[in-house]
Amino acid sequence: MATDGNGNPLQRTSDMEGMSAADRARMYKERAAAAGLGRAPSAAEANGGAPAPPAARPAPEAAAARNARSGETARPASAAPAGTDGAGAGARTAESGAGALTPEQRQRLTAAVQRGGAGGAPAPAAAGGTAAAAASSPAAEQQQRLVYVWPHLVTIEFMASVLALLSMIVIGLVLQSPLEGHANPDRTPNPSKAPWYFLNLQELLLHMHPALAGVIVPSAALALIATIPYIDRNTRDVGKWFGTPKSAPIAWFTTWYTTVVLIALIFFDEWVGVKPLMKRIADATGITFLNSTFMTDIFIPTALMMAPMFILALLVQRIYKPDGARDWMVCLFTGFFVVFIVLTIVGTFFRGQGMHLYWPWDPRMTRIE
Amino acid sequence: MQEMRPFLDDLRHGNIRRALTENRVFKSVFRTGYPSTPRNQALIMFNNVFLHLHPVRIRRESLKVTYTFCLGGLSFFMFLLLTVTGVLLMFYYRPATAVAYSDMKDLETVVTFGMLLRNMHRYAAHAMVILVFLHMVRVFYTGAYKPPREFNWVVGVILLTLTFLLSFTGYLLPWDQLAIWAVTVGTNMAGATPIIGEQVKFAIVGGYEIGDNTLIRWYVLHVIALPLLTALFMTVHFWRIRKDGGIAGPL
Ligand code: HEM
Repeated sequence: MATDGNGNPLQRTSDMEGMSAADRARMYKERAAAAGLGRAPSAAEANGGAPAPPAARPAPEAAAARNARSGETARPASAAPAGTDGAGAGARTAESGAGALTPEQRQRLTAAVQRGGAGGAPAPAAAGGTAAAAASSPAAEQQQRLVYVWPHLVTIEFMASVLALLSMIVIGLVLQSPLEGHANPDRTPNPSKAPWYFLNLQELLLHMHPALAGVIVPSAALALIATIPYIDRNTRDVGKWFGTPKSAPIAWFTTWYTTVVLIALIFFDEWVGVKPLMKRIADATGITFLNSTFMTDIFIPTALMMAPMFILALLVQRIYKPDGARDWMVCLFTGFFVVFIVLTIVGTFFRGQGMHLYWPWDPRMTRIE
Repeated sequence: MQEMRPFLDDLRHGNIRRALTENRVFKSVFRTGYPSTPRNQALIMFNNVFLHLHPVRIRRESLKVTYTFCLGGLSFFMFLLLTVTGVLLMFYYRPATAVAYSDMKDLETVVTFGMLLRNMHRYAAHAMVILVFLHMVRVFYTGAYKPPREFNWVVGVILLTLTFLLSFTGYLLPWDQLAIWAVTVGTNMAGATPIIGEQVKFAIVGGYEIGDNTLIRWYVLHVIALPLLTALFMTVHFWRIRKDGGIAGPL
């Protein structure tokens, strides 16, 4: 926790010498409230703003400016109220039972119990703010919304771990892992499949150049996913499922659209086939370039991946008129998610001998060597 | 003997709980009393290195199971379970083409609980891939990647990649038909990398044909390099969750 060390308004100071424990506790509480401790962690800090230096507390204007600079990420400034139950009781218990603690531990304890320890960095200090001024009601609400990790979270984690362990033991007892014949480089099984989580890529491999299917498309997908938070920066809808009013309908529409288009494309390549089609066209027109590897394995597959995305974007724009980046990201990510799932299912359950499409119960789904 | 007096008295009077917890040995391990007061609930978070990963208090909404579905935590749990079962498997498995397959057969038939061990390791690996992927999906649809959590999302994407690689490198080790042909498909794809494809394939196969060199490379990656890297990025991931102010909640 970054509250340790410099800038901690809960440092024990020289003017506390000789005070009673209760008086010191009151002083800590006042300073905590003045420093705005107890609020959620400040976005200003998270964005790289320096914590306040120990002696020179910034003027209120400076603190406000800092919040403003952090723009949309700033949370409403709220401060720990001086007298909420948690803080008071915490400080008292911390003091009364403090015999076994080092001064440093005692100070951290006071800080943690008052502040709830939910945050990382200390909140920016508001200069000389009185406890009364700082104890706004949203802050009191926030204080009450904090719960102790022990026992609340620790219990959930413990139960989840036990359940997960038990399920893994049961699955391990019931399902036997496959172990086929000894590896033999001379006997190619038909079909030869990658592990299930790569069958989506192997499915792509059937339709396009291996560089596209195995390297470029997955790398581009991961890179695009990684940039999502740098494009969609609006924090208004953080922490809620779907968040914006339009994102759930957009996700729903994208799911159906993607599933239908994807399955149509797979059937098209299986029954008509880009290569046979281009060969016929090339033969008919005499333009051999149309039947080149570049056209059939790179250009047309790329076009067939991009075009449905553009059409999707147009449709979503027409139908839903998305409000900002979040709605667009929901559309894009849902598209990726559905493609991943559908291709994995097709590759796992519908590709049999010769990597042709079969029903899962078709005898040609079995591997032969 | 004098010092043992209270302890022995407690025992004599049947006060077993106090005898066990109010003695110097117990107190040297568990410094604070039972965490039933705010003070001890806070202290246990400081004093226990494992709990120290957590803050003392968190927002109430963060507890809601239908918000996270525990997916990140379960991913981590699977990683731990895989480490434990994986280390046990290492006692029986030798990464050489001459013996790897028969070691697997021995695990299934000779080693006590060997089959259960193998099953748990394999299914936990599948489970981890699914859980990590679903965790990403949950983080996305709750908008929890937004500032200040951008970088942790990127760390997450790296963790997802590492999870795939961990799982895939393990797939070769049983040295059966399933293993080498799946890896043949995979290495052929990697070999299609533009410009450096041939070099990439040579590096991950350890030659031109899948054999002993491939097995030892994938083994080292699977049991040392990738787990360490994953642990490293998980460390950053968890640290960042704290630094970004706990898990995201509505403002
Ligand atoms: C080995 C894989 C991973 C592990 C063990 C892991 C673990 C965790 C844990 C325990 C949390 C706390 C909240 C929760 O449980 O949901 C979390 C949060 C988070 N994870 Fe992961 N994670 C992994 C992979 C990923 C991936 C693949 C992504 C995204 C691409 C990601 C992005 C995030 C983000 C942004 C948060 C903060 C969420 C919030 O504030 O609500 N993580 N992770």
